[in-house]
Amino acid sequence: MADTFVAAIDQGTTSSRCLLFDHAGRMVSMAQLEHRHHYPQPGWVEHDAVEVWRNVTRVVPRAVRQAGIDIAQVATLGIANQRETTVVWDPSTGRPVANAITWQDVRTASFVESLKRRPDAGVFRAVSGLEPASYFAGPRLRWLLDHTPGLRERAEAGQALFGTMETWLIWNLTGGPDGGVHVTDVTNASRTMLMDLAACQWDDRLIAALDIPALMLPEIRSNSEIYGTCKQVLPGVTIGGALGDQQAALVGQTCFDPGEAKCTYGTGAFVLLNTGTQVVESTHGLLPTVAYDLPGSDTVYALEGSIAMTGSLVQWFRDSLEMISSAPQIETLARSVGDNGGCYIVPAFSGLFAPHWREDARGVIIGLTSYVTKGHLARAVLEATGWQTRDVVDAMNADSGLALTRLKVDGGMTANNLLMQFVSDVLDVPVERPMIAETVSLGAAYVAGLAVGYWADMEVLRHNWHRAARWEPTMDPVARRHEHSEWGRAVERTYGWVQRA
Amino acid sequence: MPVPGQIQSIERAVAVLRLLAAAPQDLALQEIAESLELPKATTHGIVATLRHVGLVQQNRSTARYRLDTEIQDLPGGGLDPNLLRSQSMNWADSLAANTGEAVLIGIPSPDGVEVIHHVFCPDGTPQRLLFGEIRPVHASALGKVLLAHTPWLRSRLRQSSLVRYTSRTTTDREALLEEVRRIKAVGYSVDVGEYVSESGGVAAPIRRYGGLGVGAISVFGPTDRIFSTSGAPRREITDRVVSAARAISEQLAELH
Repeated sequence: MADTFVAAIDQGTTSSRCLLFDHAGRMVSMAQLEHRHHYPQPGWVEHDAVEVWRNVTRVVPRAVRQAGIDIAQVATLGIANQRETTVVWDPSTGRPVANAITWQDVRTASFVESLKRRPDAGVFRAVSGLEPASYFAGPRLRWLLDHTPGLRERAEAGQALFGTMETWLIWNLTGGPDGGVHVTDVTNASRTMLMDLAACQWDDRLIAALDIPALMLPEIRSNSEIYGTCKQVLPGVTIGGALGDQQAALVGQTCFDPGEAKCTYGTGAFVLLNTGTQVVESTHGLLPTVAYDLPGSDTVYALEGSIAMTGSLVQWFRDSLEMISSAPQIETLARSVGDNGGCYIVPAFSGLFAPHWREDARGVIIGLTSYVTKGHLARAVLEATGWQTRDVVDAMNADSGLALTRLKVDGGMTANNLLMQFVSDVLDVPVERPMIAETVSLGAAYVAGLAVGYWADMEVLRHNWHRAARWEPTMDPVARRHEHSEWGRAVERTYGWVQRA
Repeated sequence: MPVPGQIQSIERAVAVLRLLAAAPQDLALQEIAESLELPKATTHGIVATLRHVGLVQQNRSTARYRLDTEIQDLPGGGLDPNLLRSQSMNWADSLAANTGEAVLIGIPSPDGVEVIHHVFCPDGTPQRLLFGEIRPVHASALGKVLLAHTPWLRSRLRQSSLVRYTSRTTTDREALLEEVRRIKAVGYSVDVGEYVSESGGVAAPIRRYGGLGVGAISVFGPTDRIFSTSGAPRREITDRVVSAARAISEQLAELH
């Protein structure tokens, strides 16, 4: 019997990737294709769901070929996806009614404002756990219903289906118009403002409040079960699991105990803290969300803190200020000086996310004196990522009553030693990087592999986690307190810059 | 190999210029050819052409080469260490995962080999990041493979004394240079407990266009796991180190 492998699709914001993993959780092959972004108006960001699907049909066979294996050796397939991106399509043709509206798109802002003013606005927070925000999928679905002629009637007649990207891919993989399975997973569903967070089911009050035809909603399933069998791309292979990308990273990092947290550093950064089987309500600007629902245990929840700008601030420093020629060189420039020279950058380019949630904030560079050089600015760019992580972790500790004892990190910015040391210094806990950087794909592979018995249980997965690097805090506590207070003063100065007309 | 669409002889010519730029003194034809692993005749053709167009000068008494004053501010071929780490990280991680040993990446520095990246051995034991540490050139696998590709490191070696760290440290300069010649032939270097007793490694060069050496990657661990009882490094380890170094080099070739 030849060796078998688990395939994972990571349908991300910039690209679709397929990776194959072996029993030890090691990456065997990877293929990826980027898709186009469409910006029809300021604040609108769309993807062509057909292009995404076509890319998936290409990267999966490439990854299988690269591994030098036969489709029969693929034990199962797992999917992780960009969350909150919304697509509606016609089940008889498989054709989307419009481009997918992505999570970065803010066209629903005024609709969300009107939701908040309604007398029954409390139902969203009470049932879905979410304050209405243009970030979530439900308002996007409503926008499509309101702005696509005839769509509401078609949806009420069962001629239009809604899904986030995993739903779209599963439906296409399992046959599309020819018997495609219409399901979502509980983590993606928890980000729609339509799901009862405690019951993990669509909720009639929420559906009514957003005025969505219930017939177009997919069935909510656990993260690890066989949804169906592929008719396309990997014919005969089961789809064993799916989950949102940040939850996938939490699973890939094997943060299975309450109090364990991971932070993924990409364009932005996402901290997820496992809070066990209890929904923890946040009074500090975090989102309660489903972490995962795996066989043999109750649904596990997480608190999530999202930071809008981390890697993208470095990109801005490179592309708009042209102070460096490649992103990693920010570390070289930052190391040319010993400290920030009294300079702080708060990257509230489009407001501040967790835990402040200030849409009226805009970025500041403060503390400028003749002493400040571009080296100090480079430090301030990196330190902004460290302090934003600290703000989110402080909020998590306050909400959960658990004190974080270590932070597992992943994502491209973990290559930056200066930054990782700084994160450890300001959090005052060790920071650890796993040996596999592809935690999102690994998490998708894990949930699918558990469903088919490729991996026996979560304990086996824990043994696959290996530490590649660890940074210990070395900052003097007095200096930490001082710098933290300086950062806080800089953040305050971003507030209220945007004045309402 | 050059990326398709690139002209190999231009890559090689620029590699020669960068090599001369990085060298603290004039280089002999032989040194240039060896560093870039080019045939002597090819190297001579490149150097003669560069001299003809006025970018390279030859010292009449020593026959050694240097950059013309016109371009003497040309930066050497080194890669930003943080860029090198970022480009290498995935490969270094897989090398550690597949060999079960720690992985180091080093670059030449005035004091020896500077460790710019360290992946822990995946055995769960407590370990400390060696980032920023300096390893001796003559007593580490990283250092020896860098010697083969960095002429100025060799000339510096001639001026310094070779410190003995263990009973296995090579302190004889000629023996070391002979070993460096063998390293070029096999494509990897070894350290059999020469810096720290009972621990050692295997290293291979990371190179840019034209064969320009920019650093080295090494597996590092207990000698009884890296070497077989005969004293030779285990084949599966040398193969994986060499192919990781090659994969990183190929990725660097696509930069910019």
